[in-house]
Amino acid sequence: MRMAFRKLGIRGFLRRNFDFLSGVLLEFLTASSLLLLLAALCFLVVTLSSL
Amino acid sequence: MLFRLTGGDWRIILYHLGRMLHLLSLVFLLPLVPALFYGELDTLPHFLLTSGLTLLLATLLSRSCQTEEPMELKHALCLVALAWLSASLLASLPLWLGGACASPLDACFESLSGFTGTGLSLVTDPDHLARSVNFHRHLLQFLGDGVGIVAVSLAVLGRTEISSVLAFRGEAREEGIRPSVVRTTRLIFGMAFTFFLVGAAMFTLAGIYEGADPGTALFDGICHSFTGYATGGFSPHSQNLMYYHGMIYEIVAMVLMVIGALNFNLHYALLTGKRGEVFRNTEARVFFLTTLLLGTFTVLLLFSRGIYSSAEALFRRGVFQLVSAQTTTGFSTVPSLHLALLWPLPLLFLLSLAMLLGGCANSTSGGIKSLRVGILLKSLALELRRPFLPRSAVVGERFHHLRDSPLTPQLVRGAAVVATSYLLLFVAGSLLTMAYGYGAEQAMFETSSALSNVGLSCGITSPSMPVGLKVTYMLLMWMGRLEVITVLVFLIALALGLQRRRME
Repeated sequence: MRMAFRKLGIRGFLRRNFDFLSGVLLEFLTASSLLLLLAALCFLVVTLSSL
Repeated sequence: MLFRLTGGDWRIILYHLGRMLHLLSLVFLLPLVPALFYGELDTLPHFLLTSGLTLLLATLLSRSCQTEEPMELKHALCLVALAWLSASLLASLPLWLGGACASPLDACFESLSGFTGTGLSLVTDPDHLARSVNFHRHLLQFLGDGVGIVAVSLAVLGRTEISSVLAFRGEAREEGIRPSVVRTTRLIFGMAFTFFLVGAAMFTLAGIYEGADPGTALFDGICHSFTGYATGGFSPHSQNLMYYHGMIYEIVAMVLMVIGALNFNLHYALLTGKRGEVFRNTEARVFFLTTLLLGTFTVLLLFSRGIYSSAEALFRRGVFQLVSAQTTTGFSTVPSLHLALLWPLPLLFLLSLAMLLGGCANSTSGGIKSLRVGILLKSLALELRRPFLPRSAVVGERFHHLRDSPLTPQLVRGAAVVATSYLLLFVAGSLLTMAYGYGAEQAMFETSSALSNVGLSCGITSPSMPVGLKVTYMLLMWMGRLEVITVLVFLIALALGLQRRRME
């Protein structure tokens, strides 16, 4: 697996573009965390009303 | 004393318009790829004709108006306003010839809605439209709102930096990411393309997971990624995202909408390793806080009125619509008649407010923008604090947007001018819609949707709507996308030109 990664140049690509790729991931996580908060709010409203 | 545009000024504007149209003539050839791939040979002549006409016009303009004179801000503002009109007019041809729209005016409305990233649609049956024509509609949103076609074309074709800088400002993207605007626009295109690719892959996988066949999932994925990142809102289905009726698909759409609504500078900071910027940035904070606040009100209102009783329905309907409104996308998981008839009245006002606030400046979203809202709120806080401070105290506010900056009177004035012009247009558009016999809440909702380039509808926008209203919404979309001032400068230049001709 490691050899295949090296041969295809994936490892080099990942290392060269680490900042960019981790930035893209961080953006998706940031957007998801906002949605997660809103989802938690929906869940909280429904749960609290049934108590 | 106002300077009137002379013949020489118009030569500069038309010369650069011709150069921009050269690139557009190539762009209009892109739908040939899906046309050939799906064997839709009957649409080939429409795209070839559109591209040929654009090329002819471009060559005529750039040859007959050739000039070495440098571009100034007044030229750039007129160029951008004119470019968006002419590009929309030309892009409407395949929509009309392909039978997507019932009349040339409807086709113009559709293409302007596409270029401005609005998403209000007059296409009668998008589900049975040729895929190449659907691809063309979605591509318009990606190029117009996702990357800003005028600045990009000048940056790609231009040898002069200044023209791109000015067009960049005209397209309501004032801040450069890099010192060179040519590099900035190329970088914006690179980022947009990266998010488009990631979005298309995620949409395709989600579509396959929801049960669509891989071919349809891929095509829809590409279309939805174009319009999701561009916060446009077009869909190849008349039911919009309700067609998939799947939570995973809707979550992918929401994530892409939020990313599209963030400032390009924030993207750049995050993609170059400045991770902390997302937490410190005043604009990002305002955007996230207003979304959370308005989201809370939406959920509470929908739940308390008994419209939706489960957490999943509240999230997939209420939160989705709110995120779609605030990011000015226009993807929908609720039929427009439900919005108008079932949803509580205060919620329509709340969604209208979310649409007017919009996403971040220098992003693909519309509206007043969070940066301006943040500046105005900080200014308000300063004014409220001032009476309680000693007379000799020197007070000031600071805000963080890539760096700590003082809140200067110029910044506050700029934000107030744009916000006031948006609000004036909102009032005028709402009154005009009401004059056609629609209720106040519907009129305000639809007007804010057109003005902020959102695309959510409570049922007013349809092929059978009055012609006057179609023209009004077209004007609102055009002015809203270019943040009012650009269009006003163009209209004033036209009026002054006409006045001079009459005096002669």
